[in-house]
Amino acid sequence: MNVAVQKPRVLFVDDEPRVLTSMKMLFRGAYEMHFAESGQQAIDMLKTQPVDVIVSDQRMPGMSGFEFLRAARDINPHAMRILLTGYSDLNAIIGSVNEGEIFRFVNKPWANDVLSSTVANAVSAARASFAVAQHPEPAHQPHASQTGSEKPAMLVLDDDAKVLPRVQAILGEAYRVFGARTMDEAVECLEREHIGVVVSETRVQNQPVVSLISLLKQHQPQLVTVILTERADAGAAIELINQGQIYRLMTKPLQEVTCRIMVNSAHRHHQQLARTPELHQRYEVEQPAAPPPGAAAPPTVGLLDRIRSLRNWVTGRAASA
Amino acid sequence: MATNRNRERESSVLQNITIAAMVAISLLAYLVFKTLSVDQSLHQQRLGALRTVGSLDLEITRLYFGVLGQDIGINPEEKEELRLDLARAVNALQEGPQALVDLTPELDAAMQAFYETAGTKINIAAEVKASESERLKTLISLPTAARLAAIEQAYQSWYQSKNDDANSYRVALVAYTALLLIALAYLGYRLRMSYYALDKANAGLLEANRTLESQVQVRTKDLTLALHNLKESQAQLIQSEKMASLGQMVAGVAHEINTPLGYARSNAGIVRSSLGGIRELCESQGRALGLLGAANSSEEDIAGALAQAEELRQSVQPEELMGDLDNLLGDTDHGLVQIADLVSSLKDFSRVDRSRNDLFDLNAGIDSALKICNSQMKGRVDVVRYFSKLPEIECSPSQVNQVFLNLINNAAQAIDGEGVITIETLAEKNAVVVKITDTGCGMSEDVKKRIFEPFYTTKPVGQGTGLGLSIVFRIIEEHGGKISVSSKPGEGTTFSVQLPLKQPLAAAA
Repeated sequence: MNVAVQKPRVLFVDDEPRVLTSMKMLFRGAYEMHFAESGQQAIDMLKTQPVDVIVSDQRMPGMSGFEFLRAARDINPHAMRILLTGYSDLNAIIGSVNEGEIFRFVNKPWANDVLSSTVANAVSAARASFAVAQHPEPAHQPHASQTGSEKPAMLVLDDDAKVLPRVQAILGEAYRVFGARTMDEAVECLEREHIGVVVSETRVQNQPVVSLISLLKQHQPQLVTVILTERADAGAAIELINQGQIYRLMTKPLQEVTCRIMVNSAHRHHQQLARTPELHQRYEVEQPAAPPPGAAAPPTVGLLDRIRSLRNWVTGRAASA
Repeated sequence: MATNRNRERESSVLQNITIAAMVAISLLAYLVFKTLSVDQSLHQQRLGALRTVGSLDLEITRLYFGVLGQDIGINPEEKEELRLDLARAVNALQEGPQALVDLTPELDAAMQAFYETAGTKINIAAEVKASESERLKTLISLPTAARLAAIEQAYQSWYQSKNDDANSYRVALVAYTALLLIALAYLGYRLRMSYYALDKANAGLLEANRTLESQVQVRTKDLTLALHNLKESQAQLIQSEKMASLGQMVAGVAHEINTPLGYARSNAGIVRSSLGGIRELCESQGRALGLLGAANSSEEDIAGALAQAEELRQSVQPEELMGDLDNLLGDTDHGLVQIADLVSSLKDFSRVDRSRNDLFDLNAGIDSALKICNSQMKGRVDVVRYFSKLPEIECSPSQVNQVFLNLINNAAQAIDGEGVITIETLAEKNAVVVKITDTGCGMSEDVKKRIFEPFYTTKPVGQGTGLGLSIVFRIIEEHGGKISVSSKPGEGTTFSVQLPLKQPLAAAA
């Protein structure tokens, strides 16, 4: 096949040509590289030449990286998107998660090996899902395990007791909405119910949820996470994207319409992931850097085991179905 | 006005009350007068006069009756005296305060009848002689007593009716007095009540008076506290505006630094990893050269070593690689210089290493502010500089830099899409002038009037505190300078800043 022999195509976009020179040297020989010095130029290139991976700077004159990636997603949905940022404000990050569907944020100055492996992961995900991603929404088949008339289930993980009833009020007719106030409760619920979408705060009981979400995504790739937070900060958001592959990020107060749109979209995404495992690699999480000593304790081994068994349970169920 | 109206109303009420009191008093006086119209002593005098007449008449009758038939002479003196007495007494009924005339017609008629009879009697008595028994009998039988009794009866009946009248007036008087007393009691009650209310109000006033001082103190304290809070929150807002512009600046600067840092670091890594191949090539070539130079090396060894070196050379392609690495190192150099430049302009900008009042070249300040704003404008806004040679001015460089940063930021934000910012500096006799002109959206007269007001902003909520230009204004004012603005909607805006060469001594102190 032509695709198999062809080198993966990567598009680099940065307004600083020296960055592009550096990339050219870094990846020389490995990929077929294309370069653009502005978002507009890159869009023009994408229209004639689809690529597998796009690496873009965030802060560029004229069109920001996030605006460009949003446009690129429409033109070339199959391409994996990586955002290179020197400094990002929160709104840009929220925008890029929700509208640009970014695979990774990479901070400037980048480490060559991290950037190389990130691009390599993106390339292999793009290759693995090429055929599927070219046609993202085939015939609408209900998921095997969901043939009954049962409404889809979702989980709200938040220690604020007011959030669950609010979400139930907004979505109650279309979903079975379960609540959890702690991570243990969340895992219990995930064991008990066939949950497709998790809506979570960034911290519960003063613990960041990123490691839980990351583990869940590793072991149950079809699970889709939407973050609903009032303590949004840029660093945590980047971590959640890179390590948790969160699908959407909403800020409190909860907006009814936004919530409905995002959860519906997350549910469709979940169905698609469950249907086509080839896509899973596109949403592969980054392994967190070695946790610094004294940092918040990662989920206990017991929790980890339970999540693993959760996978067995789900796969077993899928096999029997 | 309200008090005037009140006063008018009060005076009319007072008038009405006076009239009512006068009417009440005259009615009372009238009733009392009516009650007093019966004069008891006059009545007694009248009765007395009637008795006197009656007794004199009786005596005359008795006198003449005594002489009748006894044929004794009448003592003329006694007779005359009696006659005169009677005449006097009768007269007394007709004249003087006790006269019984014009009281009632009956009485007058009775009087008339009596007078006639009494007149006849007196006339007869005057000329009658003891011998004239016939006339004496006539005289004696004259009904003076009956007439007199008629008078008395008429008088008594008049008196009775008079008395009855007075009595009925008395009853009315009593009733009226009772009524007045009731009214008075009511008025008294009303008065007492008003006094009570007045007392209460008075007590309240006294109390208020007593606590007024402490209340004033409390209020003053509250107000002082509120003023203090206001000042504090204003200071906080100014601080937060500074922090916001600092944050914006940091975001820009971080990107400006991280980009060259990114490629410099990456290039260094690439050079390092390329060195491995070059080192291998060098070693291999060195080995081949060593074999060539050695006496005991075989042809085959040399050929093998050369072939290996050539093979490595082919794969490494040192000419091309060296050129690339040169380029990378050149880029790295460039990036490091850029970072150094930026850091030094940051230092220039903050001026933390220089005293508050220093001699400062504004052109340098504008340049460092422009470097810091650069990321906002790069590729979007052209900056044109018309700098004249400027004398150094006395100022606080960090504050003046803040002014230029704010003005340039504002100009860049006013430009939607592409545009030009023109910065012109001029030296005047005792001052320097900086004009910053943008080709942005401009502003209306209304907006222009208010731009230096604190908290005035045309940006959406959350995107500006509206303090930027008010801080600019304050800094320039503190430096004894002037700022003016001219603008046309849709064409652009020019800010002119004039700063004096020297600070007045007071400000420098």
